[in-house]
Amino acid sequence: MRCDDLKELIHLHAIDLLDAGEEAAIREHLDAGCPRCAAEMAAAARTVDMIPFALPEAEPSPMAKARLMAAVQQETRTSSTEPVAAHAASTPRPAWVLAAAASAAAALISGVVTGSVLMRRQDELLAQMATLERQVREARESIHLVSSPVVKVVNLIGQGNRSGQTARLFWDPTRGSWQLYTGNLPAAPSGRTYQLWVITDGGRKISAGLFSAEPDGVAAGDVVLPGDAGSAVVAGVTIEPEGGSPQPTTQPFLVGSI
Amino acid sequence: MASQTADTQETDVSLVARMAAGEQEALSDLYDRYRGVVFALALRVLRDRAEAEEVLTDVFLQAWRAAAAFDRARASVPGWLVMLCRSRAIDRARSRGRREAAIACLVKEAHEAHGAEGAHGAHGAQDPAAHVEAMTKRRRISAALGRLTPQQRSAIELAYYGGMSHSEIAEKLGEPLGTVKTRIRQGLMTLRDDLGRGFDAM
Repeated sequence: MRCDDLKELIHLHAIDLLDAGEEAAIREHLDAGCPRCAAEMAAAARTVDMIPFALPEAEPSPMAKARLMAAVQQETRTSSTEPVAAHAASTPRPAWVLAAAASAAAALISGVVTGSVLMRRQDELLAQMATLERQVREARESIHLVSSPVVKVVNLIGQGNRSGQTARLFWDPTRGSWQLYTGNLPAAPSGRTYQLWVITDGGRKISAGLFSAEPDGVAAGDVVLPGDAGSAVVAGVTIEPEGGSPQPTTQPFLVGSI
Repeated sequence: MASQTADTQETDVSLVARMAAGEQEALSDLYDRYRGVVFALALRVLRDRAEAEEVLTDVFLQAWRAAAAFDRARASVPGWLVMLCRSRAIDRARSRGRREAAIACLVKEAHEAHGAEGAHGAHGAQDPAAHVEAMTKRRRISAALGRLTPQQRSAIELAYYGGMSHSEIAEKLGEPLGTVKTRIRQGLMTLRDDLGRGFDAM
């Protein structure tokens, strides 16, 4: 393809209107090295990028921003996960909340604030507070479960073709609460769920609840054994249909002794 | 005006650099600066607030993740954001079965005379100087689009907001394929020349 031929196509390329053959021809021409055509393509792309700036701006709800910042924070937190004990002991420190407050203060000082800026910050902070309160509750529970002497720590080991998988269970039989660090557990197959069981010395299998593989690796629930159940000796995880089952319908793929 | 615009560019680029360094506050600022445009684009493609808000969140999350890969030589920051938005919104329209309905709206608008563009729309939590600049940019681009023939403009908007192919546009407008291609090409060339003056400043 010659430069002149390409000129005919660059604008259509910029707005995604070329067919595969024409795209390939352009690719070839540029890969061979043609700075002038590359510059033309860049200019065409920038023209197309301007089109939506003619639209009147539209205002999304404050929840959209709250969701964004929560998602970003979650990503940042997950990517810096430490071994279990350290993870349980650390309290979440959302830098962006502090930063948002600081910048609202800075805006006030510089005098360039308007009422709408403050209201938006407030909405965002309120949404974040609800998330933070939940996280603090979970963090407190984690600390208790990791540090209390009555808590059972169970290493769950993958069985059979799941032998690479592990999870760690913390369970307080006196209060019933448990947390499961799901480690490298993949998501349950569609339409199915993971179910945690406590198995007693008498062979009774008691459901401790359903859970899914959480993005930050911690599932939680509670189970208290009935008085006549005997003592818990084994914990296991099975895959059950969504909604769970009264008794396990499959062999546990994760098992550990309590 | 020109130096103000250059300042905006520099601020945009430094916001992205700070995002790449993990500063969530920079993302928050970038969002406040451009959410109006990105949301308006998503709305125009999807015609549904809830869907458009999800795309809006996705776009900035993607921008956060890809901040380190942003190349100022290849695009401006707002250009990058609208590019991310357009492709996501169009994909979403397809996958959610909204495409036909959204295209029907666009085609209807194409057949009507273009209505009042003067509506302010909301403006984001920007400082007054940035707001004035955004309004000026909008007026300028709106005027440039207004200088195209109505047929050129309609064809371009169907292609851009609808993600439609030539043949689809030709069919919806009841025009020959070659005519549609020519109109889009010539319209974009005119736009490029028109906006090219002071282009780098945008």
